Amino acid sequence: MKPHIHLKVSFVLFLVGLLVGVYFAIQIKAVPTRVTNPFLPYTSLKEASQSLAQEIKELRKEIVDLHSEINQAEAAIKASEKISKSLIYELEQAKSQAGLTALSGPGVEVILDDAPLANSSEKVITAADIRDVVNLLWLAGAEAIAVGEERLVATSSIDAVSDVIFVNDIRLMPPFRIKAIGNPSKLHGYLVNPNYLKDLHHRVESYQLTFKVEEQKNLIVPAYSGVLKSQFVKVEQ
Amino acid sequence: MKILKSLFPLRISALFFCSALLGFLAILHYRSLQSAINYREQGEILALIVSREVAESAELRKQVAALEETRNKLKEAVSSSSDVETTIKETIREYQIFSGMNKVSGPGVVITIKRQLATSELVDLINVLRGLGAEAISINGERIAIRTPLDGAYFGDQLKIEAIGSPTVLGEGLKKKGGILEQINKDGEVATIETAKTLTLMPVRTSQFYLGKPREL
Repeated sequence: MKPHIHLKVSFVLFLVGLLVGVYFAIQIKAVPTRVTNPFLPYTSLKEASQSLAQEIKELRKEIVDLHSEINQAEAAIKASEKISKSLIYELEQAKSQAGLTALSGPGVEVILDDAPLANSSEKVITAADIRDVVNLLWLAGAEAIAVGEERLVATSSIDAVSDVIFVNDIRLMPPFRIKAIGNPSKLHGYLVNPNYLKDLHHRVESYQLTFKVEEQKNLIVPAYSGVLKSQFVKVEQ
Repeated sequence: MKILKSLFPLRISALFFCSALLGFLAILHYRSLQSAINYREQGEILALIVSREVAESAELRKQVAALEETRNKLKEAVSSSSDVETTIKETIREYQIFSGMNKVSGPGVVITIKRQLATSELVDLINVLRGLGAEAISINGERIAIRTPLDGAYFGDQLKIEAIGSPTVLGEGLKKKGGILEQINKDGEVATIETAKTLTLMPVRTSQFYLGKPREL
């Protein structure tokens, strides 16, 4: 090899070697001084979430048990004939109206689900979709509604954190089942009317989201499993 | 071998190898950065979920305490003869607050909006108020119970929304950056919010069930 060619090759190799060296230097400098693995905080959060989910599950069970004890105590009061039948009726009505009693009757079941390839926000069922369906069901005369097993009451909200939907602060996963008691054909008619839920109907057609409405002769809407306790409201006599 | 050497002289091979190595490392570096970004984003979402679960757990603990109190009162009422009627009447009143069947009063906020809201905006706004713990809501003097359907056109272009609850929580929650009030005001300042020491809300007109029957257990 001629000396000047050898020099050129050496120079090119020197440059490439220099670049590799610089690359390694950048890599070493880019390593954070404290958390070396980005997966670690994610893992601890995931663990915290799992433990909180378990705690919430146990607290919910405790609430169900307490409701059962309260029902037994109420039954004992009724049986003891210490109060009038009209007061018992009023109590049952008030509980029922507030959503604290499971109801059965005719109605519809709505099933909402994401598109098969849900890779954009338009292809997933959002909290806003569920809110719109619920509002339309009230408009169509629904008497009681549950999303999943969560009965909607005066304090219920339907929210989302990123793509996770919460109803009554309970995390729900698709497919979302909405049960509503009311006139089945009227409820069904409102839901499939293209003048309502325009955005949802459009997305169902364009992206194959699931939106099924089934009329049912008898369905059960569960009681609200939480507690209704006022903190700021006073009843005016 | 000679043919190979003539086709790929040593220096070219060395150069090719170094370049390939550099390319490989550069892609590796890019992928590791992307992966870190993805985990950071997912971590932020998970942090929001965890904070929500923490709040939920605290709320459930409060609910357990309240239920224990009710259970104890009822059990005492069963064994004594005097307090039964009072306890039951208190319980009925408490339930009726949430079905909107009573005239109620309390502190809260008043939201004034000077344009017609789309039904979806109204649904979102009432949903936010409920999420922030509003215990009673009315729009233009009409009590909004859970079964009240919301229709933007029905309430017109002058809305006065009153909500009873914690004035601080309701006020700050509504004014939150990127929140519902900011969305309503995106095309001009049409919505304002004021706190109120006492609001009085009328009961709903009707909340009877016609088709739903208490489930036989």
